[in-house]
Amino acid sequence: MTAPLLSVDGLATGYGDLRVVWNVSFQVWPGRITALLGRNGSGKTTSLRAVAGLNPVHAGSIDYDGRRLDGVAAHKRVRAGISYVQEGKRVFRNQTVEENLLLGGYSLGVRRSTLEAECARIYELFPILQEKRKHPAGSLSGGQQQMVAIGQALMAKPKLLMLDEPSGGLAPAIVAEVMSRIAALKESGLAILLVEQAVEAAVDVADHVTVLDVGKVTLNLPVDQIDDMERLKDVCMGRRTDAA
Amino acid sequence: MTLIYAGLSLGAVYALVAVGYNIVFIASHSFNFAQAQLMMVGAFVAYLGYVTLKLPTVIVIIMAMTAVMLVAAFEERIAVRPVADHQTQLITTLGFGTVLTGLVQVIWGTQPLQVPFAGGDEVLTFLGGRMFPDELALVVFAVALVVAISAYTQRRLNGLALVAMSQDEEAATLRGVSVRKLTFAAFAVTGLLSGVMGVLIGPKTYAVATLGAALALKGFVALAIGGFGSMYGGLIGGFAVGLVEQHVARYFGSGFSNLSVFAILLLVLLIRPTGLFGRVQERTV
Repeated sequence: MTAPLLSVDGLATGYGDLRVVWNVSFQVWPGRITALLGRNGSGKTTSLRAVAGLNPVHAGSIDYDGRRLDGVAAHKRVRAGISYVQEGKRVFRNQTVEENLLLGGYSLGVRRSTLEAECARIYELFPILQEKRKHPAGSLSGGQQQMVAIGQALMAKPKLLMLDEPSGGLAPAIVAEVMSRIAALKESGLAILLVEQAVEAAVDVADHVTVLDVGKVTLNLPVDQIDDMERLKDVCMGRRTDAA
Repeated sequence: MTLIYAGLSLGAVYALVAVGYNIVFIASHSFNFAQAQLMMVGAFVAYLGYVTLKLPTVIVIIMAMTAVMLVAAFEERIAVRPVADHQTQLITTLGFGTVLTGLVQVIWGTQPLQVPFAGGDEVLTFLGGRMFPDELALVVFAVALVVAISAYTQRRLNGLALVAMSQDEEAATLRGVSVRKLTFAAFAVTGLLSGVMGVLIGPKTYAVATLGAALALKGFVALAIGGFGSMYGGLIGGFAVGLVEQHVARYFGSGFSNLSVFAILLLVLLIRPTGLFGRVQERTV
């Protein structure tokens, strides 16, 4: 196995002085998907926010692409290739789909015309967005907004893509579609960190699973070592603490 | 026609204040209540350049732009950046404006000072009405500025980022936008423009220490009528306030002009609370 692109070790973080995550470690590899699972309030989103630079690191380390990320401002981490798709389809609702995608490439520091050409790549992945490119992003359906959010993140040509609950609030048929697109993305060598509540959908596409509970890791293993899904779900729900 | 021209040029002054409010509002969802005072400083610097130092126009404009930009940049550092929430910024920027008014009084006194206009003061006759060249320049500048800024926010990436930032600062950060740098830039650019505005409004309004308070109020009304965040709204609102004020003063007496402006404001807010061109903030669940 190649060396991990992102390696989080013994991370403790939270909001200001309030500590939510106590001791979390996980890795993400190029061309593979790591699923970060766990029930509500287990510290999944907070861990992602710390990697993105939105939350302070209280203890532990975050290594990315061979360097420590401590003290690197959030907007500079984007330039280093970390793209974070936040929970709840946070697109720029008043701006058009195309403007949203252009903003996705803001961190590249290139001309607008170059970015306009880059949009074609996203339209190929999500053809519906090309049709809707002049519409305000807020007028799109939930699934389409999620595509805008992912497309926006991909415009930055990331090495690491972090997705927070891409299935949240979407119809089951659309969840399957979004998940299959995510699975296809790793083929290009992208390292993907996927946070999910929908355990089965996540395990279907993931290569590695890390389960959190109350800010600590309770399970950490490659997907092919999981033989009992019910047991895994129990661990994710906090009903069982032993490894599967 | 002369009355309409007078209304339009006065309106252009208000529209310029509204534009200044708007740039900062778009960038940081906060009001810079020192905006009118920045323009006032610009007018005084123009007086200093033209009358006291007898400098050529180009130098005066550059001097006003630089001076007011520095003042605005200083304001951002001491009255905006250290204050996290937008409500408090209303107070700190208002305070900064008051300090500017005080400083100007200490330096230049309380008497109105006449600022000459580079384009001369020969009356122009146009479509059956008469107008001073500085009034024409004001109207043209206000319209051109609004068109230019609107194009900027739609065409340039930094303009798009500015609009994005006003919707969701955190999401903009995650797209690689340095929110802090862009907010600072918005203030600096507002200062730069306010310097030019000061040079242009000086001939019409005179450089006087009470200018800030007078303009701040009318500019705010212009913006409320047009809709917060809308550049064209601010322009239309400014012209509307100017025209109403001049016509009421002419036909009912100048005592009614301020009253009429607020009557219009109440009427607009009653019918369209977001202003003529304002957008309703939709909430998502």
